[in-house]
Amino acid sequence: MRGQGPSVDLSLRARIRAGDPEAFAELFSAHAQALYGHAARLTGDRGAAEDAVSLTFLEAWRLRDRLRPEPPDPYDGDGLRPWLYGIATNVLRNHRRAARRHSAALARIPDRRTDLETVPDFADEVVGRLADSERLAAARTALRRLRRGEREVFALCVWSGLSYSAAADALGVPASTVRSRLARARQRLRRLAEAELRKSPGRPPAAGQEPGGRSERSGRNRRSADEPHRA
Amino acid sequence: MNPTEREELARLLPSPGEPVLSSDRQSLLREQLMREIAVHPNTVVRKSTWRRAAAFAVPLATAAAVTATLLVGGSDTPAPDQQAVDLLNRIANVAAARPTTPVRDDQYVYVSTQSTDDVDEYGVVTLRRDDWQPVDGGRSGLARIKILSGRDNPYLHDGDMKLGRDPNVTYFRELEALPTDPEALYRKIWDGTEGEGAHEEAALEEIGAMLPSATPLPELNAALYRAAAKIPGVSVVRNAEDIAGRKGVGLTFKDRDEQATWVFDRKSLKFLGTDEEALLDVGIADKAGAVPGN
Repeated sequence: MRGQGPSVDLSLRARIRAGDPEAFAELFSAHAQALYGHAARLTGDRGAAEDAVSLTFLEAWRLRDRLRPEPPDPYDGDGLRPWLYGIATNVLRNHRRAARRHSAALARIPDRRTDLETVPDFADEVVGRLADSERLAAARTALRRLRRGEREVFALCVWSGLSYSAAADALGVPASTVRSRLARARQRLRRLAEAELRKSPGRPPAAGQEPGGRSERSGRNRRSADEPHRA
Repeated sequence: MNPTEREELARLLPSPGEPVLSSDRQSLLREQLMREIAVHPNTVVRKSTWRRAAAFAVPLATAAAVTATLLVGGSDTPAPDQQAVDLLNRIANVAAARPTTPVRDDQYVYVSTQSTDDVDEYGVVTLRRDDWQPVDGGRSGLARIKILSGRDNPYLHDGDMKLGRDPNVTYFRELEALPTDPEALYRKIWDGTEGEGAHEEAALEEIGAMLPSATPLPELNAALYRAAAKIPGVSVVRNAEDIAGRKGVGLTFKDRDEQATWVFDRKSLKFLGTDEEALLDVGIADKAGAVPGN
């Protein structure tokens, strides 16, 4: 039985703000898997996604003072999910800055995937995962047709299942902006699908699988021309 | 958003599946996080860069920037600081006059830097880091770390790291493909950093990240400086110092906590690096691990 001391009923949020390491362990266990999925879908790259997870929690630790004392929407859970997705969004937008800030910490992680990716040691594993990776890459290529703001909203709301208000909180924009970006994304994707249908009659509009041409692949690698220098 | 709506939207793109982080990997990353937290118990948002820049900034420069902002009168986009524009143009002229280095696909861009890392209980460690990145991005790169000073610690020590393909690195051939017309380059960078928070800061950061490996490309190098001159908010730091202690003239984005200051040699206008990372050498190497002979 615990007493009535003030620390007893401290919420996870309060413990995070207070810098309680155990709270970060809990936070990690609760959200790392979902954040990994989000990062992998946005980057199409599992190694980068692992790093993004580590960087997100390192940034969360660094920025714990900035977590507001009260959840933004008491009816939408503890509000820590949008906070973490907001940090992840910044990490993914400007990976280089975050990676530089925590470069030593990243270097301490054993067997980082970004280090292993070029090593063909895990033949069986690689074969098993190839289909998954191709799916991920195809989705990522198709996602590229959207503007960055639309991509983020699409990944957060559609793929990761955040509510409008949670996505708004994560991105630091009004919920109306989330709604309108999603509407623009829908319009754009529909127009593209229709255009494809017209180009190749008889083929189903397999959204994104073969984007009606080579424009997405003309580069030396899968990075599209509009972002040769993403940070 | 209701489930039907989400379903309908999801169908507009191929399904990415549900990528899974293995439980092994998850617990490893978790342990690693807990270790970092234990090592850096008091890491909170640092403002050292800001403080350093502020200490050196000449009030005149700030005053000039404020005037420039006021002169535009009510417009949301302040004009770039004229002092900074002049300096950047001079730097660009010098950069453009450097010789072009022919580069083969099988070579590596060598970048040597010096920086510090605060390993809290072990104190500040000064390290040199040499990177070899493949010209075409098609092979592994190499990073070599050498501790120059500081206490022995279990986290940072001398050694080599293999660098996998990194979607965040702009490889040499990709740099080469960028427009060298400053306006076109500026637009590309500006559009590419849209939605990244403070837009001016993100664009400048993007340019800064490309500066070291753009050194062997004089035209692009010059265009990067001219593109930077178009970004409002860049201002001159009269007496700047890189992290290796080399003094010079600096450029920074005013009012930003975490924006690095670019430092240039006062006479040669050579890029020395930043107050976070000094640039010691850039070259083209035949092999990863080999220092170019210049």
